[in-house]
Amino acid sequence: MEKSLISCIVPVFNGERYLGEALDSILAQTYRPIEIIVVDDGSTDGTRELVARYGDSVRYIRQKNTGAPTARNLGLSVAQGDLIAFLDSDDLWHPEKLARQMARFEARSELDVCVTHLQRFWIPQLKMEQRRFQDHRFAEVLPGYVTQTLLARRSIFESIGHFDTSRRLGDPMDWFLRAGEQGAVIELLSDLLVYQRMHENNLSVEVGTRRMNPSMQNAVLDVVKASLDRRRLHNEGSPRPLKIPTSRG
Amino acid sequence: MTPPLTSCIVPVYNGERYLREALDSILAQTYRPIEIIVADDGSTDGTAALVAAYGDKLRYLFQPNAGTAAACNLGITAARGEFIAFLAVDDLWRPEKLARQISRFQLRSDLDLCVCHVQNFWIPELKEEAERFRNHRISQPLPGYVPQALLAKRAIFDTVGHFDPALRHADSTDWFVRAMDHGARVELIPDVLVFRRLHRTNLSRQMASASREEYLQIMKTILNRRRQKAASVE
Repeated sequence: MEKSLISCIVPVFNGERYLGEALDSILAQTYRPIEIIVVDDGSTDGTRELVARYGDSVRYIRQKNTGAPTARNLGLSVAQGDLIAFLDSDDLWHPEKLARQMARFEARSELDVCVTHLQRFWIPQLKMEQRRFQDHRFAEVLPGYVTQTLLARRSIFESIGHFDTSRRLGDPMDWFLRAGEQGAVIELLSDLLVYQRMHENNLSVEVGTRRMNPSMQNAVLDVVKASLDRRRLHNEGSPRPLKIPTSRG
Repeated sequence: MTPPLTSCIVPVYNGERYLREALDSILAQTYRPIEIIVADDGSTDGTAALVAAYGDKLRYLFQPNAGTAAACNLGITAARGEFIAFLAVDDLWRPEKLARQISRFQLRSDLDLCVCHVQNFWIPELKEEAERFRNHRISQPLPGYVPQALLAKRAIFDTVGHFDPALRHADSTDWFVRAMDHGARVELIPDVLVFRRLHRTNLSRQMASASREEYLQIMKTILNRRRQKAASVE
């Protein structure tokens, strides 16, 4: 049987510092065939030049700076794969990430979405912070409902829709909730396959405390409220429960 | 009595060039049972694919790049063996390496560590360098206080601790000295059982001055520790 093409979409805004490592971790995947699409969200640093060095192995498209959800959607609209994966420019994949997820799709033809576990790691300059979080839940292996862990059939984006471009933050959580509400078949792999880099400029958490910053808190409340409202609407007042796997093993 | 399981840990960072030879030298060991753990320190070359070709014969672990010491520690944490050995990706073991060392442990139940001698060899492209060093000490068999030459009881890592991931060069020297300070019982066997490949990109060559600095630093720490201990005994 011919193997399915996976499109790997990397939205990036001024990500020259770590983008090379992210792309290398895609190129090091044991799974083939893949296509890599970098969607540049209007970067003003050396992102374009960095991508150019990868030649034909990476496609580069650019948009005006309008945020990550728009960039992800632009990637989706040009993707040629039967399956879609995303990686943020500061994070890394385990070399077997796609292979192990694809094996699940091959074993379960009804599967729509597969996510994995993830773990945070700290840049060497934040060693002190890392040490503080050593025995903290934040540094543990966690179920990853984020785009970096996602491998999804392309067709699911037609039924669930794309990422909500009216949100600057929280759009992935919104997408996963909508997927759950609409009965998408989701599997959470127990494997740790994504590494999320903690540095000085993470978008949604504050350096030092690693608490959600106020704009992220608001975004999350907003997303959750919208989901509860939708689930009430079809269930006479009490929100319909969601079927989303959350535990390991 | 069933022979004890030995975990062979291979830390690797972008090592596709020599990795296969290293793994084959483990598989060629006359000793069994063994488990082989490849601890990938964030490689972006074909390391993962190369390891996958070995199928069930190897266990593959991955971490974002954090250095050899951290990769060795990852391997130790996952190891199931009663004994632990390490092999650097560009080095080779003699087929009898584990068997000879295990037999020492069978004779001496008090033993914690066994190391052997190491012979350097040069890649063909560095023939001239090899020629220049022909009568030099580094062309002779050397006592191998390095992880490649080590076979250790797993329990010793609970006593001595793991490798210090903050060190990039002197992590193994630091570990061996800590082991001595803890009174670990060590035997150095005269046999040459490890071959260490010298090539253009040996880590200690690439960053010779950073490496010297780190060695000085750990020597100082070790001496301070010993002074403190001596003082507290008085």
